[in-house]
Amino acid sequence: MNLYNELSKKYPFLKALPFLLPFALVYVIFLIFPIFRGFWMSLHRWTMIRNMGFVGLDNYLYMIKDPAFWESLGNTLMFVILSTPTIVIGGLVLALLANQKIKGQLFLKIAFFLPYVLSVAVISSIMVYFFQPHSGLLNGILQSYFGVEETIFWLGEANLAWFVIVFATLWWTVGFNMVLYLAALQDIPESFYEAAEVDGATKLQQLLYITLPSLKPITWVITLLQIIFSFKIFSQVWLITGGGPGTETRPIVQYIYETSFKQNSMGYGAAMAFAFFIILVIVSMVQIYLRNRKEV
Amino acid sequence: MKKSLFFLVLVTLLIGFTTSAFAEAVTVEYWNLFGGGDAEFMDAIVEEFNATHDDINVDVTRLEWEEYYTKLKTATASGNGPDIAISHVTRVKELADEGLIVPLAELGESVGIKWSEYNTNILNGAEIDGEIYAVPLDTHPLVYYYNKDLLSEAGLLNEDGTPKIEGSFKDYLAKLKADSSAKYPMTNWTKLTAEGHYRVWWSLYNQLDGSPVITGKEVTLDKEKAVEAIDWMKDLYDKEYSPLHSEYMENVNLFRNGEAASLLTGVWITGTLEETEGLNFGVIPMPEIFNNRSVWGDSHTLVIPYARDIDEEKQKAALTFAKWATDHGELWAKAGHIPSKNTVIEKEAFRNMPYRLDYVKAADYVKFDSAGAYTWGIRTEITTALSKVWNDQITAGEAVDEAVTAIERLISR
Repeated sequence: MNLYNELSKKYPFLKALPFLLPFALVYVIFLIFPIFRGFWMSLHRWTMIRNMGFVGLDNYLYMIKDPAFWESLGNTLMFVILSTPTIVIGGLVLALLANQKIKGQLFLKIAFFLPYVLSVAVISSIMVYFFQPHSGLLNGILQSYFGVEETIFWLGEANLAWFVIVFATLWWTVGFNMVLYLAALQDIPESFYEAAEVDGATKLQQLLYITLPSLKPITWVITLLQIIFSFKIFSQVWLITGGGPGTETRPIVQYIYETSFKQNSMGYGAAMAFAFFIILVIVSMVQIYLRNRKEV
Repeated sequence: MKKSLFFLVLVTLLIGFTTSAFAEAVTVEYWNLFGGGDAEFMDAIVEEFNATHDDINVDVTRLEWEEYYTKLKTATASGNGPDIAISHVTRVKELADEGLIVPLAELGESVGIKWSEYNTNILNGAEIDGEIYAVPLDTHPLVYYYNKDLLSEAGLLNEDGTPKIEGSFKDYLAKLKADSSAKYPMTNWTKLTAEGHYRVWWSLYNQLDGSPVITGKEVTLDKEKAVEAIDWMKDLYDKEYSPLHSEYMENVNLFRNGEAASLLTGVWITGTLEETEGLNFGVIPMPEIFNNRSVWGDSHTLVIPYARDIDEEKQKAALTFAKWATDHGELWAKAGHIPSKNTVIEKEAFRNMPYRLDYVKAADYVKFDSAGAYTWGIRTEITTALSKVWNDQITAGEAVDEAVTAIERLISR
């Protein structure tokens, strides 16, 4: 015991070790190890159940020449570009609405947040019921009340399918961003607004010069989270459009899943997953770099 | 107090001993992928089997069908597989090639299975390199359901209640569209990414006597016939004889509501249609559109996963269940499936069921599309290529070329 005391005086790190160990162990077993294991698998031909032999970088070479890989990676990027601003701005607008001192404020907060608690399977079923062409709710409304003659194939045309996916994701997850913004809004001191009012600032000026600048740090955090979240898009696409029409909305995660588990090709799946992992690491590093530069 | 406590312990011990004496029954771990109505009928079969067999206890685990094969394969490979499991016949080759299931010919005979009693067409699907790997339970091909009221509006119903298809099938659909009050003459599962398109295409391609998509490691698709089948379907959708983009339940409901006069889908929907109030329907095997009556279909079979420590007693108990379940195919036919045994089809209990006899012959027309480990990949590549034709992005010929390239890439990996 004495030795431990003496040593930990010299190396404070030792004192922290017992506290760090439980988490570190779980982290290594469930995150670090699988990453290395995945890389190892990507260097082999590997079916769902066994290793069929070392192939070196063949899987990666195949990937570079695989048009389906690039298409699905492009689709994922497309989703990130479409969904990130929509959902971040959507969250901000809803938070500003719900933060007004009006009657029914609590109702608004609950209504905006409610879809977030639903599971992806539930929201996807709702969306399919809403957008299906021949007996869907939306086409029914359009045809009965707005005199639309033709049947609109919401899930059958690429542009409309993208709209549906972004809409579904917006409706489902915007509540979370709203809550983050609401918390930040509470933190803006009331005195700022009082002072501005005394100086004769309008509501719009208060919004532009007090509220929005104060929300800058949280916006940065929300955008970062949203980009990572959007990159990982899979379930709602799989359940709503199945990646279609054709493969035009198939994201990279779906292609990895299909390759690994449906086409029985874990090695190639692992190669793509690893490449995707590298891309995400780069994206995160760029974000951290940009933020650090701003703070300086 | 002490005395009564002692008594209690004694009684508990006695109960413990006696139950363990009874518990010599073999427990058979059974996995299946059924959902909805199918699951209930299968549970009832297991319950009845357990009630009539003191020495065997079948324990069912139901898994989500989307993830079923992933779980079955990984569990078996790691030595935690079940004693008996359901597999589609088109998956049997894949499982056998991976060494995940065991051959059953002799083992089956030892518990009294007579292989000659099974429908030859289905049994052939379960035979890999001359070895039988699965006990066929049923087959479920596409069949053609029709609304009798709507057909008679158009004067297309025969005296005996069958559809009057004179001339080509499309002429019949045209008349049905023109002369009945139905919005659509027919409906099938046409969501672009869904396998529904592929199933119809596969049926038509085989009605044209098309060759297998791959043979060994080579693509042997007959391009001309593939194109002809696609053109027929494209015309079907262009003329709005069947609406495009319909979700699975949506297309069933169009038929149930009377908005579509007929429905081309699998036999599994019979139970659901029977329960639809006010729906006066009939059913026949898929019509002959080209040279023969070939049709897409799959089949549920029972397989025995490979285990490191082979327990022959367990395997025999599992096969006893397989034999019993297939011998009582009329219980399973309630779900709509066609029984796998000719002896079941002759049973009074089966013959008295409505609708089933009208399509039982389809079992002989079924063409399985098994391509080993590539089955799923081929289905997806063809479905994707087809959907681009429906959306007018490419021609039928280009679609076939695209599918062939994609399948070549798939098998080169």
